[in-house]
Amino acid sequence: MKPTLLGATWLIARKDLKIEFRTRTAFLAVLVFAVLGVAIFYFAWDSTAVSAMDLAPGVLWVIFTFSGLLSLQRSFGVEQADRAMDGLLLSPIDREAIFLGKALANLVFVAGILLVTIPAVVVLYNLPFGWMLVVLFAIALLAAVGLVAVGTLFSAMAANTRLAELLLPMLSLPFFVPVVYGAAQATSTLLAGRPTAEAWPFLKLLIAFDLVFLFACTLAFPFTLEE
Amino acid sequence: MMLQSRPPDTAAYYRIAYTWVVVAYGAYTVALWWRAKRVRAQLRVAENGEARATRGP
Amino acid sequence: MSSDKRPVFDWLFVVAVLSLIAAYVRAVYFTPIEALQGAAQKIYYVHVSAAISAYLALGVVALMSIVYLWLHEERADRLAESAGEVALVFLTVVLTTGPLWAKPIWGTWWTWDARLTLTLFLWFLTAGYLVMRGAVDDVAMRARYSAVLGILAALLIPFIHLSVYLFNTLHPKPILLKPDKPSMPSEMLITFFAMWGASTLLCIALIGARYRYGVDRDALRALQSDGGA
Repeated sequence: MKPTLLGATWLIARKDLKIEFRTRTAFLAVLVFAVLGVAIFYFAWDSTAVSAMDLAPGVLWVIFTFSGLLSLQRSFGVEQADRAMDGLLLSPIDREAIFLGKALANLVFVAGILLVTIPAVVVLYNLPFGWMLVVLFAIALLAAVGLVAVGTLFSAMAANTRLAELLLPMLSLPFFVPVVYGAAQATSTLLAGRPTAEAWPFLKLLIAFDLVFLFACTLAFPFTLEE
Repeated sequence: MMLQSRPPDTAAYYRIAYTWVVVAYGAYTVALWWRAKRVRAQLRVAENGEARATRGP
Repeated sequence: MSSDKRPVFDWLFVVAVLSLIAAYVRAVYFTPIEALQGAAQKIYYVHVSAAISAYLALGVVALMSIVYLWLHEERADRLAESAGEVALVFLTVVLTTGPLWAKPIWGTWWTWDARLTLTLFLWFLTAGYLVMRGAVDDVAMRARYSAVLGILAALLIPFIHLSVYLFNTLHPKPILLKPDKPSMPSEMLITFFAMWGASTLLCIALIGARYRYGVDRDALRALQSDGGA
């Protein structure tokens, strides 16, 4: 019996997350990178010249980008061992579901990182607590969708090439720019206490990117597999 | 009417730019020509090898 | 697959080179110097014409990517590869002549204005496209991957453009000298068109030459892999 698209997506995502949960090494490695990075950034700036609150959005989104990239590196590495990918492809699961499942697993992974990193930024950079935390997390999740959509596809492609570690960042980073730009501007606008209407064009950019690339990358994924 | 002043002397930038553009296009062309020459030579060798192999006794 | 016995650099290339020389002569000797910007304004002719050619070449990449995914025609992939390489050359020219123009005019090497920023990202995407092609050995997989990247990159362009537009409305440009689009007197316009025409011819000729080289190179690879099998 062939599972539905949604069912298959969930199956794949659960499988990936279970594997990750068993070892947890990748998650902890990215987490340590993220939190340390947040701390190091503080010392890299002259805190008398730039206030911590002005610095915080930039730090958050740079760390978000690079820890997102790190998370993606391992995503398809899991399938390389024992040619596990062939098993997946032989099963009666839609190719699109494989992609969406992996993307969903990556999204949960990145969300987990954010759950720790955003409070870390708020605490270390003296941002106001409260509803701002929720807003930050919501925008970060939106950005993560775009990041994960593109990153999962390129991670799958790069895994089959000779220069995988170079290609994933090289191909992905230009695509991350509208995501990071939209998210960073939206958060700094809101953090500065400006009206939501000012942040809206940036949120629209984010949402449009997510929709377009989630759709495009899901469609493109089957083309990256053996025929 | 405003007095027409002389245009600023920005000639150095312009000369560098125009020279560089010719160098850039030229370098690519030369590199392409050299690559093509090398591949054609290798192809001739490989094709002669094939011809000899399929000619038979 | 047979190799191409036509010369790699054909008559079109000769015409292109001659027209580039003619355009250069016109720009250097027969075009007046602009009053506000001085001689550096002439960089505009080579800069913008290179940009238009780069976009032309990238359009070929995007179009051939779609054609390849649709028809699986190897020649479309080869044309995309050729156009991509030529695009990188023209993009490099744009990115280097831009600062050479910006420094005397705007007082700064780099401005995050729409055209230059977009060109920077196009440069990275094109370089990534070529690096990726170099890293995939299987011919069919390379073509498929390149096509996917080509189409996704084309989808990205409007988003980069929108980001830069939002950025520029947030951070207005310096008010020093704003020679955005000075209305050009006819002599300058003619020079511009001459340079644009020459650049386009050169772009097409180079893509053709690179394509013919690609035919030979692929024929060689096919022979070598057969022999080795």
